[in-house]
Amino acid sequence: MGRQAATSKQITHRLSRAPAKGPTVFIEKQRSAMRLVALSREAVAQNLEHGLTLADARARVPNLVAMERDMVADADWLERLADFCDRYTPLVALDEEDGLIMDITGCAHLFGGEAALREDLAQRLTHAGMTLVSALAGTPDAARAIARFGGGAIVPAGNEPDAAAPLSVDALDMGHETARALSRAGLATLGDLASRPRTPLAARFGQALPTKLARLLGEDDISITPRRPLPPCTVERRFGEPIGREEDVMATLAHLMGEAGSMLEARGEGGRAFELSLFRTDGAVRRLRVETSLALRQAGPIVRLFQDRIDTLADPLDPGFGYDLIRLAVLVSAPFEQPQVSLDGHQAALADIAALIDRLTTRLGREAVLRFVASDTHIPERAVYMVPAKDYEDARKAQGDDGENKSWPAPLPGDPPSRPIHLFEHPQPIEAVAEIPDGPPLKFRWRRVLHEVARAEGPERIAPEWWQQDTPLPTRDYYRVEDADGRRFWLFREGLYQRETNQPSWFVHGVFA
Amino acid sequence: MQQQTLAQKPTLEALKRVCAQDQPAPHGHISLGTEELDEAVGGGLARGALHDLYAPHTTSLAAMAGFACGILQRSGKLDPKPSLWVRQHVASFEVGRLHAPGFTQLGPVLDTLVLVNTRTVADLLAAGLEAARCTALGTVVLELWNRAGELDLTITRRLALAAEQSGVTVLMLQVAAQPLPSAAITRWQVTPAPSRPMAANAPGHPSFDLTLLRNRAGKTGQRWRVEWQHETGQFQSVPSSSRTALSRRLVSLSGSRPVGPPDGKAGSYQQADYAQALARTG
Repeated sequence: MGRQAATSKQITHRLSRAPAKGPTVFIEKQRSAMRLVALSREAVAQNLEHGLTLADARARVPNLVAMERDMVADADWLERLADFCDRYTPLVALDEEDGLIMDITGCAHLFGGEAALREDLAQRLTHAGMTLVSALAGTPDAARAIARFGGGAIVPAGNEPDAAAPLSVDALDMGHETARALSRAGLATLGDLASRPRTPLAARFGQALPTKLARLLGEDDISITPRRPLPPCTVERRFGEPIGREEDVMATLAHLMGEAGSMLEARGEGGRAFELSLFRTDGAVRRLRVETSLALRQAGPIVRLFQDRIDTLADPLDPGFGYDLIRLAVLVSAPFEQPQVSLDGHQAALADIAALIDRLTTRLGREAVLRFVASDTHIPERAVYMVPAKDYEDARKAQGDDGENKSWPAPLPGDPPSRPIHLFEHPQPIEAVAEIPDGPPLKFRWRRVLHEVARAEGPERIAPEWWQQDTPLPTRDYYRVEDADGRRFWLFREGLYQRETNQPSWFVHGVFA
Repeated sequence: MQQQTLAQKPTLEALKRVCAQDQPAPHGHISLGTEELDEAVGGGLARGALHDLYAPHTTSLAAMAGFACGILQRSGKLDPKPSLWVRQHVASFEVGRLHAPGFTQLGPVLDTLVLVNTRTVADLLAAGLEAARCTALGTVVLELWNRAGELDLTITRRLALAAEQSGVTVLMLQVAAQPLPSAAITRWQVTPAPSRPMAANAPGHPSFDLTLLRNRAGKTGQRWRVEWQHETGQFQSVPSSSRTALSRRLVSLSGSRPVGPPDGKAGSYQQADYAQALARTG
């Protein structure tokens, strides 16, 4: 049984510098009329309600200030508030479009107790311009109901039935009809429902009602779905005086990495993905992520990778008024392989290469550092695919070969190479003169240069994979040609003369060494 | 007098530096498989050093890449370490991407090759410098496409120093109108050459025309024609006598013209003329 806190907010927008001329409301088009969806305190004081049409509201309060609701901006703002609440606990979930549910089991003691945590949260969010209602309870549904319908409170453990009893049956969220039916039956609060036997309720209103009731009364506990998965290992440092200089941040990172390293060592693991979260005093959160190919736990290489990442950020770090919380999370951990001291230093060399690949990947991007993996097809442009160097080992294991590359076409002994070293992604069209039906070209023009063919070999017929296509693509006859200056090309004719087309077209696909 | 002597007295560090400069190749050589080539550069391509491969035109880029492949294979035989090839994205659009089957057929093992694609020349040189400092690599190949004034003596000097300290052989491939000043130990101009034909007039093994433009271990200006034999893994020098005299297609004589005159004199004149024509084109 954990402790949950729920906050319900009425989003009040910080308007322009000039004071508002009247009560502020937000409107949205619902059921073919502009209706009020959010009201400020003055608007509530003037007896305006949710769902009232704008025309009616204007009739009652002539100096109403109405603004169109921006759902995208609201959602974005809620996400940022959730990021801010990350400082209290990593398990934060969004609750509809104006609430958050946080699981603070085991976190409250870091802030001086549950009441102190709630007070701190309320203070910071009020300072950010929000009005909020929060409640703490043992189950998420109970906390949510008490926050939304009960005005917010701290419910001691086990007291959920008493705290939920005075709530009206609207808290069940079962719809207008059910609420009316219940009130007609004389059941106005959850306390009334609790004392009744559940089976007739299920018979009359469906099984959903007793289930929800059980949850609201704290009898059933569910776990929330947090926005971000819980990392295996987290270390953090809070600052009484916020820090802003990059050197201080890196020094803190080194220290945190040392602590995380000893935690990983105790488990016999190393980390493969690390995330650094920098929490600013004004609530903004910046996250930086770094990945490695081997499981590491030493501070030095990780700090260097983060330094590389910070150096190559498109949007430089802006500390604002300073960071008051820095957190390092190990997102992915893997069993750590002790480097065996082998006689030829092989393991150390592998680790060096892995570190170089990590640095290049951090600086240039994941898709910039690649290795070759053979693919099981004879179509030249698909015969090989490139895999980011980090995923190379996994890709090879997935292919299922035992350490040897799948074989590509090899020339006969004594023959020159049959595949070019440079291949164009898209074959380039050329004009060629050749004997029909399948003679090699005599001369061809490519990029406005005429090449006279001195030697040629071919055709090598590469037919398309008929099992892959519905409409058959033309066959390709490949020729290795050498021109008068000694340049060697890989040309092909697309389409067999008179069997597939009367006007076969010629292309250059690659250049040999 | 005393102070002057002190200032002129060489320190141990200065002496070490001077000696290191004279020492030709502290990490050894990659022999190219032909004695004349190896002798000309003092035993082969020096390992742990920077070498330039230069071509005047983009059509020679594939030949340079093939030459680099040959060097990769020979270096891999000496010391099986992984290698790195750094290119620019632009090159893939202009001359095509590196095709792995063609690569393996030329010799190098692909399991240990890492390809890096960068957007700008600055990124390429930074990646090359980073790789040149990694002792676990064997060879690094930098394929520069568009220098745009970013390559200068300082950067090449840094590359050369890093290569010396780590023992990594760095090959820099550039295509330019004029070769730029650089701190490389050797500079080769590589262009494709007509190959010795196989049966039925098929193109033969990859052949290159090499010109040694800069050589710290000896003279420059020599030219060779070499053929890369991927099975033996050697660059074989092609002597001029075995090169085919005719590099153009023969135009066949029409059937109605007499091949030779009935009497000997005019026939021999015609043959001599033909021989002269051969000599000019071959």
